[in-house]
Amino acid sequence: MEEIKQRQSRFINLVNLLATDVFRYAFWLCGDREIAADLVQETFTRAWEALHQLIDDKAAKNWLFTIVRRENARRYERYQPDQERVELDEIAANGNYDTSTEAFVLRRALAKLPQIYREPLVLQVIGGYSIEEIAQQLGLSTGAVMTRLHRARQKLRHALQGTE
Amino acid sequence: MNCQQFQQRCTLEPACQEPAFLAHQQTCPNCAHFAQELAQFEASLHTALQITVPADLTKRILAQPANQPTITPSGRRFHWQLAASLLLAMSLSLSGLWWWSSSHTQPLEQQLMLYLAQEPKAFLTTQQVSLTELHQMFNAIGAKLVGEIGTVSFCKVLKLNGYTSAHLVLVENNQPINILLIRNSSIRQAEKLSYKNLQGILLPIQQGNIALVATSTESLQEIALRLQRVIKWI
Repeated sequence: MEEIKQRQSRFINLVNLLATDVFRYAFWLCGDREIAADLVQETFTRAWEALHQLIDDKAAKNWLFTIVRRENARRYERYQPDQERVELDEIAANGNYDTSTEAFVLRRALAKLPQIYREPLVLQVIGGYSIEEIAQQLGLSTGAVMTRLHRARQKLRHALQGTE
Repeated sequence: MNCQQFQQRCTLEPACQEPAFLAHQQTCPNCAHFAQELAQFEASLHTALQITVPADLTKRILAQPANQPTITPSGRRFHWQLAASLLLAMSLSLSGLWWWSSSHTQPLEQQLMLYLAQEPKAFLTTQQVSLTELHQMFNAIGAKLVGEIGTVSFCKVLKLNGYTSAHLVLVENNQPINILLIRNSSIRQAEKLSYKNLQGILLPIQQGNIALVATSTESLQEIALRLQRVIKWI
């Protein structure tokens, strides 16, 4: 019983600490709030089941992001949803967000950004990962990650400047 | 690190903490200015990515297992459920209460599609359910499997609008077909179901209703007929 309590306490800490980042990452992966919430729930369900495999809690974010990515990929394998488009209107409808034109333009540009550029960028900005860590997470070379990050930012800047 | 290297790195990784990067930034006013300009863009980018998180997300995660009763709690599953029950008790959520209250007021069709939308496991589970589990599920809703049903990747007993129901996922041509058997519900006319990219049909059967939901309605009628031949109500 004591073991279960410890496990619960550890799990609750992880949820409280990381659910927000995991949700945001899931959202920018799948582009849909409801699916993102489902992905997060599934991720934490799997995390609970495999919590004994997480040796160091410092690696938890990395571990959870990996699970989210895998669950999202599995969703595509099985389900093939038509949800490439990020639901900007839905974001807007949820209030409590930056309503500036700049943020709007950036969100729109982010939504249009191909997944191969968006994902490393989201990992860097939301996840706080270094280029080497992103390369490891995505199974890419550091060179490829640098190219994608560069292009992602370039496209976003062009969008902000109205040149795209 | 020279200016070109700094600016290239700064463009790719503005928050770089490498000593050489930081040292160059401190000693080169031009590059410091360059970094400062980029920082404004990065701040905007950071803000743009910070989408609003559902207020009840944490509570939903902690409460989720209670919405997923499995039929045969054994071993690891049992511990998971036990722990989940404790977690639920610790964090009984407003969303749970909302869900509970709304589940008694929404029409069955709506309730059913909302349930499916909140049950990702149905679409993600790939392991085949054992025949024993299937028999237990049918038994729990007062039915019996009397013939070949096909490959089932998910099964669960639940309450839908207060009706004892069974949810199973048939794998047909590598596509998941969600089947819901809702005992004693009383919708007497066939109805079409739709939610986002899910479509389905709700049909009256001997002991209630059967719903079939997939990404396409193709073959759902045939599957419904096939199922009615192999399910006997007791």
